[in-house]
Amino acid sequence: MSSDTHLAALLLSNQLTRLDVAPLKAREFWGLVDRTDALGINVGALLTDATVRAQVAQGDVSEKRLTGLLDATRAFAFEIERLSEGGITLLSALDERFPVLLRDRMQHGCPPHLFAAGATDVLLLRRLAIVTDAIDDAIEPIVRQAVAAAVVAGWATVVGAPGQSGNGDGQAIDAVVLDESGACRSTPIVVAADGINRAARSPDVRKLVQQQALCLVSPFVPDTTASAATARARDAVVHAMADRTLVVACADGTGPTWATALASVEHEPASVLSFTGTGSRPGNAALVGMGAVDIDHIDTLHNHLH
Amino acid sequence: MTDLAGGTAVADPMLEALRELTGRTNADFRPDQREAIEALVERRERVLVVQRTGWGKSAVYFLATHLLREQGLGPTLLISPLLALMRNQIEAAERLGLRCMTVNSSSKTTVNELSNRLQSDSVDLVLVSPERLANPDFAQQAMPLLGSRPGLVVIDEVHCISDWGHDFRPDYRRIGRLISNFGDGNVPVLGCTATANSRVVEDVANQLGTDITTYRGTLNRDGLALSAVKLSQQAERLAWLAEQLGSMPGSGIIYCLTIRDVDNVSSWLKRQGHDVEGYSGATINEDREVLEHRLKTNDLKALVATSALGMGYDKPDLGFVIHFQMPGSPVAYYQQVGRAGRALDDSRALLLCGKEDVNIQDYFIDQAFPDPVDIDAVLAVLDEAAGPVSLRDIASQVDVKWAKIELALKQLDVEGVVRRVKGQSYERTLAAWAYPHDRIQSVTDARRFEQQLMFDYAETTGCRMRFLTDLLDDDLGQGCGICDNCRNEFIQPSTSTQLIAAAEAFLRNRPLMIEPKKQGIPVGERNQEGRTLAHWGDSGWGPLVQQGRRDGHFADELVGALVEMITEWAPSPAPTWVAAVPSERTGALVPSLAQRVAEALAIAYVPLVERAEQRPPQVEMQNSPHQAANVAGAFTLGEPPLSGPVLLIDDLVDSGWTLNEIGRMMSRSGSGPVFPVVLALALGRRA
Ligand SMILES: [Zn+2]
Repeated sequence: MSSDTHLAALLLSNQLTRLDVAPLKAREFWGLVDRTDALGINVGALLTDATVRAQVAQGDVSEKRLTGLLDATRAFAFEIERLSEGGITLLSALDERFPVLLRDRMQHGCPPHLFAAGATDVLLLRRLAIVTDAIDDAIEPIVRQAVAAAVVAGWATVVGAPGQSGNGDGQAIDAVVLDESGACRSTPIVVAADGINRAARSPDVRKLVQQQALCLVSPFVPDTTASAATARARDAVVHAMADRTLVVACADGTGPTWATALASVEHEPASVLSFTGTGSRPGNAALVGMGAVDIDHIDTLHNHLH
Repeated sequence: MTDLAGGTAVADPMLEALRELTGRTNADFRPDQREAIEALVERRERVLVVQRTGWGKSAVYFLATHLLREQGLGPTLLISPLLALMRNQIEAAERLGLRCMTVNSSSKTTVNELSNRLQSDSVDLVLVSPERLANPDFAQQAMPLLGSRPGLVVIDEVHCISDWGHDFRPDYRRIGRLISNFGDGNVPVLGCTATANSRVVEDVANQLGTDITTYRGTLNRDGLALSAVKLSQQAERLAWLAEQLGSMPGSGIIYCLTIRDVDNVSSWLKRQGHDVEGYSGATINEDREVLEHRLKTNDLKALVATSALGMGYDKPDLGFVIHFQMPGSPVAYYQQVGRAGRALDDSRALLLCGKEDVNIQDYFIDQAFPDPVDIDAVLAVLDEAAGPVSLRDIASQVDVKWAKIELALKQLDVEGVVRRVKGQSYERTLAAWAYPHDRIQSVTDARRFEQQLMFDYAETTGCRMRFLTDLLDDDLGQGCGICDNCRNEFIQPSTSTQLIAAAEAFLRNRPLMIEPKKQGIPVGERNQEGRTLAHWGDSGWGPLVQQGRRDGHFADELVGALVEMITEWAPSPAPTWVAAVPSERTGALVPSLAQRVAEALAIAYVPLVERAEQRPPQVEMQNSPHQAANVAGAFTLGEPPLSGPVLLIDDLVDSGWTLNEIGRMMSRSGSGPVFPVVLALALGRRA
């Protein structure tokens, strides 16, 4: 894809600069991409070609709105420059490094761009997401073994970071994954429920990013504060960007881990690996019952990473 | 252009605009002005003008703005460190109908107002200081608006962009990156400087984009007679000034390297009956305006100034520029003397070199870049912080001076290592970073080289104008014919031993105020304003104070000087007793001094202050929170104080926290107002 394509894509969903027109929502963005594809038009052409804009404009996505968004090139460039000075990259959904799976799985709900910092190259690897309701003495070794299995298989691990709101979901799993990854000298991907600047406020996380020992990813503008809604969106991204998701401990029929895993099982049962050994919860078995892959012993995990 | 009677005049909108701008119907372009405007307006080029002061760069960017706006292009962004000095030019621009907005630290314009005006397209020229460019509000709100629809970018004093320039500013470093985001990369850019050698021009051109058209005028200043003389002692120079100032042509500027020297020179000359005023970074804005105006209208013989009165000050009939001390680089020197006599047939530039010059220059060179140790200390705080840290909190965690913390943060901000968030708080970014030792070393070496060149200038026996223009890569071809070396006529030192002695005595009697600390101290417990006799390194009393500390006894002369200073000062209410700051290191030195002062003033001496425990000397502590913490609890009172006003005596004052802490203790225990009295100010003295 040309750089024009990326730029146009980023401009269409640009939330970094203040504009008179609203940036396209994910659904609007992908609807537009579909229309350009159908017409055999490159999205990059929208930057310069007014007739193309007129052709693809539809409903709320008016030609005026498109023009307002696409003409903010320079203003936008300043923001990109500022971000990249501070170590943050903006990946458009049409960028090679953008996880294809995320696009394929989330379809019109896929975020049109991701903010990323640190070792963004690991986004090109195959990925194992690790999710759990809680971390306790039984669960922690399972998580550590899962990280090790991924490293041996040459996969990257994906984990959600708790937001500043601290509503408990996924709390501390990122710390365990980071710790074990450090021990294995591997580079995990951490998906934040807040903006990247906020997610990197912890000195430990920030240093790992600076040392390229971590890839920090967020769909939200860098200074966003986490909320219940952003936490849900983060969970969806964690699942969707991973080739496989290991559900370590999951309550039955309740909680965010269940909700997201359930959605994944319904769409693509083979992508969900549910741990049913010691320390697992009732929800794990329930997921297997609905079609998720049964991991009754963590030693068997590596069989599914290929 | 002549109007033919009854005929049609050849339309020349550019010339018409120039005449409107200057308010003169017969105005015409100077060499290269029209070419530069055409390059900017018609060909949208990047242009660098290296022209001497007074050539008329403002006409170029005002007219270019006017013409580009007529074509429907966006407003001009003018970046200049000299906005406070641009009042006259802005008035001229407004005559041309240009709507200007200034955003700098002294303007009241908010970024919001600016954004609104940009959105409604009702501003033609935005003037911004380089510091403001870095301000997060400006960067986030105004920059995108400007960048999305740029007409012209003007970078004044563009040599500041180059590490190699004598006046490099970290804030300028980001300008090159900024303009690459302006327009479609083809926004016309105008860089202006009066002082740049080939190396700087090349560096600037590299940073502004490769295709750059340079208009370089001759830098020779006809009619400016240069001369130099070495007068080691300040007193010799003061005497010379007192004798010679009256014979200088018209009104001029006397440059000093420090604010303290500005105070000394201006007070001395006033006492000697000269009509002069001091002007420095310490002068408040309103006073600056008044003083600039008085100099401009020849209502003063001279302004005694630091480089705060510098680039951008416009007075075509400036008669002379005298340097009381030697600046650190010939390019800076050329720039300062270049202000003299542009509209005169004869003007003078005199360099008086003293023996203190090199120390002051060394200080400036050392201060120019943050010390890696300071950077590491500041960065360590931010590295360990979970979120933004205020400047104050940083200062409380590192033992680095405020100014150095600020310098370190500025450098780190420009490099993208930290980001400034709302207010005075900073946050570590996600960018990895290592201290650029090599770059900083090579720039420091370049500064040392310039310093040496300045000494060479002072000592050269060849033509001085040719020496300077050669350094700026402008070949004069022959001698100027009017400098001291060309004419073989040299500055003669003052032969009046009486006047020199008077200058020495004057320097000895330059007491300094000690401002009471206010931070964290309740009003009723604060010291009164105090006095110190000298600077530790001053040629006046400095040596006697140093000797006294070595001998363990202060000379009677110093006691006499203190008593004289106190009598002349007459603190009110009049002190009725004396106390002393005890020091473990110097034993009875200060108490004995205090006792002798008390006797001479015929008031009581009460040895009540005692040292509670040994602490490192204050001079080893670098900033206020650290100094205050070091002092707290270090002293006790052995007996209750007397109830009357008191003189609190010490030999040296470093941070002032010792005096404030003891004064506070005495006030709390029931003493009257506390007036600190100190022999020497040792601020910045190397431990
Ligand atoms: Zn000469």
